[in-house]
Amino acid sequence: MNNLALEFINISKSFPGVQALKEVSIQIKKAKVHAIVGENGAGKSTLMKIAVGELLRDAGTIKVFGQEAQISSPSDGYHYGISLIHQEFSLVSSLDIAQNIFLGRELTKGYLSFMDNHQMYKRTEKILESLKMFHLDPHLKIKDLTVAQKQVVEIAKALSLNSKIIIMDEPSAALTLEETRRLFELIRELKEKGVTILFISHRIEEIFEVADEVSILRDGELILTKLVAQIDRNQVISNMVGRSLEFFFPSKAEQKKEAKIILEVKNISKERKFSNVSFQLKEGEIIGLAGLVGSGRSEVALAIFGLNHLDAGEIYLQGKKVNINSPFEAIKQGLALLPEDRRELGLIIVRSVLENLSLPALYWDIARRYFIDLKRELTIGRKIQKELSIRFASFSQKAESLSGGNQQKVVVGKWLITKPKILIMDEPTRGIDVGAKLEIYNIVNTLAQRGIGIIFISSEFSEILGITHRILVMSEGRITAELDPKSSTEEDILKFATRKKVS
Amino acid sequence: MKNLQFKNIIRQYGILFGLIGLIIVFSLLSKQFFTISNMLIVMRQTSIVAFLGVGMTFVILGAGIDLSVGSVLAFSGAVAAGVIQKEGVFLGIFAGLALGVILGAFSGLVIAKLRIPAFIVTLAMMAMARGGTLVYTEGRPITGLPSSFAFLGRGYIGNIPFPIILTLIIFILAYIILKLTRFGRYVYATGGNINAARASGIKVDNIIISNFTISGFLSGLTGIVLASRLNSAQPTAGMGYELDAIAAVVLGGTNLFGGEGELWGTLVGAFIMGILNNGLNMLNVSSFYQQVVKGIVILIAVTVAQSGKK
Repeated sequence: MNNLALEFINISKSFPGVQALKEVSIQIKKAKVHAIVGENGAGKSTLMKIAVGELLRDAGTIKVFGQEAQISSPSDGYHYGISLIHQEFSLVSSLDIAQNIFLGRELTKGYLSFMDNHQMYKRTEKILESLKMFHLDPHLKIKDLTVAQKQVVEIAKALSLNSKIIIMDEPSAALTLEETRRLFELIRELKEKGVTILFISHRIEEIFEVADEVSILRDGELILTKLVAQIDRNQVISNMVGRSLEFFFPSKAEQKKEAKIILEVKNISKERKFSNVSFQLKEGEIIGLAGLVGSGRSEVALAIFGLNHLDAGEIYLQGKKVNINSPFEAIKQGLALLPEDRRELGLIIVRSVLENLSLPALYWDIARRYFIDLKRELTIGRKIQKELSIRFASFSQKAESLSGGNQQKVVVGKWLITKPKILIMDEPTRGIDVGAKLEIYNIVNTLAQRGIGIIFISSEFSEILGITHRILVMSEGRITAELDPKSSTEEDILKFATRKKVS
Repeated sequence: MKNLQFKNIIRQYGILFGLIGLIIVFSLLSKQFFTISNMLIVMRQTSIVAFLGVGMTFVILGAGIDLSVGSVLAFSGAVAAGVIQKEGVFLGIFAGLALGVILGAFSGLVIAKLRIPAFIVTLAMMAMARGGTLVYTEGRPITGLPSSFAFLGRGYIGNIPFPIILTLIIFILAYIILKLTRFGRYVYATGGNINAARASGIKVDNIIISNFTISGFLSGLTGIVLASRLNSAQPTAGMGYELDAIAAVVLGGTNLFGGEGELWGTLVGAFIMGILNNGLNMLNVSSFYQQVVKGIVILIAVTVAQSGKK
């Protein structure tokens, strides 16, 4: 009984129109790593927010270390020693690490309560030191840190609050492989120290790498809780999606022999981002652009799409040299870009689903001269909703109310409406659940069969191997290898993705 | 659930209830308030804030702000009056409108191309246009305008004052632009997320410049109507009107950060400001206290709107 850190007993929660959680009961053992998995909308994040008091449960009990806990506001979570680390960090980017860690509870000294900077930096230093390999200078500004380092700061903050239970919402979503490996080492270390870790993840492999126990949620209900040792990958997936996935990756689209080259990139360079990148793309071909975060792959994509200026090099479309210096020009030439950062570049989250879907095509198709053909807009919207099976209640719903997978499908949809010849997809499956991933893979295949050339950028090498015809590996702004997915492994890609410049 | 529906209604139409509530309160306190003749007076007064508010709605939906409307109004009114005296009514009106368009477009150009915040650029424009007005008028009102010019501000069509009809026309045109045209969509998209809008092929610079041009045009129009109504162009015309216009937009529920909001809200917001002025005057509340009451009403309205959101 008293080896439990956290107990959820019959937790229920509903939002307007949705039962987010239905009588969920989970027991989390002390000093263990417990993974919570499920598709988007399964209720994982809701449950975690209830645990720290960011959301109020409708019914049910929470026990912390055997005691019933009154958790009803965010400060209550801290009171009981529970910290939640969000996907979007709650750090102030203009302040340094120590200032962030002590934000709102600055140490003071003397009668006038001046800040005790000396103590704050000393204590921060001590906490950061305990995270050994992640050692950072407490004076560093948050804005100068990488995503992984920010995560470390969040963890340090949780530790400084003496949190015994740390909840991480998709901690590896924006990390490179190497950073993820180190994060997991840190998680193991924390576990050794007696900290209980709950983590939410979309990446099934991670559960087997780091978790002791796993709970699977589906549609707001707990499906099962099991020791990781007693479950395998396929069981996890089939329980998450409610059906078994025989073949995770769909069979690849056949490539026509006489396919024409539709895009040729010759020696394009941008200072400090990438240099001498050259490749060709044929119609119906899916090429993978593999590389770690920061390897320059996204910058190449942005440059081809006219969002970044090129310092040198040429781009040919259908054999003709083009000069693309704005997305408007790129769209005109039949290009489309599914950006890496969905919320920042892909969607206008405060506007409706329909407005998002029709936006890029308004100029070319949906509007007659100046006026929008509202009927045609809705017809096209319905068609694309059906084609991609995007799930939402109404076209007038705001895009921000959709789950990650459906948001991504809206972004895919808005580009398909423009009937592109070349589609660049930058991390199209990041942060979306297994079911939606599979749907994205199927969409990619269908598009390739229709003759669209696709550049598929990803740091998940398994999916690059699984769905592309040809792989270009990037490291430090250069293409370091061209691989055939049929005869390559993830290790091969990693080898070239980490190859350093010879100086 | 019931509670939630109530909140939704409050959020969408709360400002309308506020307007109705105000009308009821003033009607109970003063017999002359809710009469057709007084309501027409209120609407005519409101038209000034409504013109500016419509332009301000475009600017704010596009995630900008325009502090220069009051000064541009004065400059346009003065130049219009000056040209009318020499060249006639038609050319005068044209000159006033053209000046508004040029000043608005200039602000928009600086904001979009040089990436300087709208707050700063239009603050500078506010000073420049006011200064320009004083230089042009030498600090004195321009009077002695021909009677044919009076129609804009004091004329009637049937029993209805012309400024009210002009308000309706502008409102309908602006509504069509915002809701039915590509440009309107682009305004919402640019204000909602400028980077995503650019990445969707929208020439966002043009949208920003257009928004400020529209605001400049309507400021110019307001200046001309005001000069017509007062039968003179005052160098101090429109002082502080930018705040009334912004208040009308915000009362109307438009998000100050852009991307969300409805034009009818601005109209209701402008009307609330007009009713407050008129009702408090009728109750003989001193104009000093009126300022205080206005501020309080804005705070209450925004607070209620916020509580509907969460």
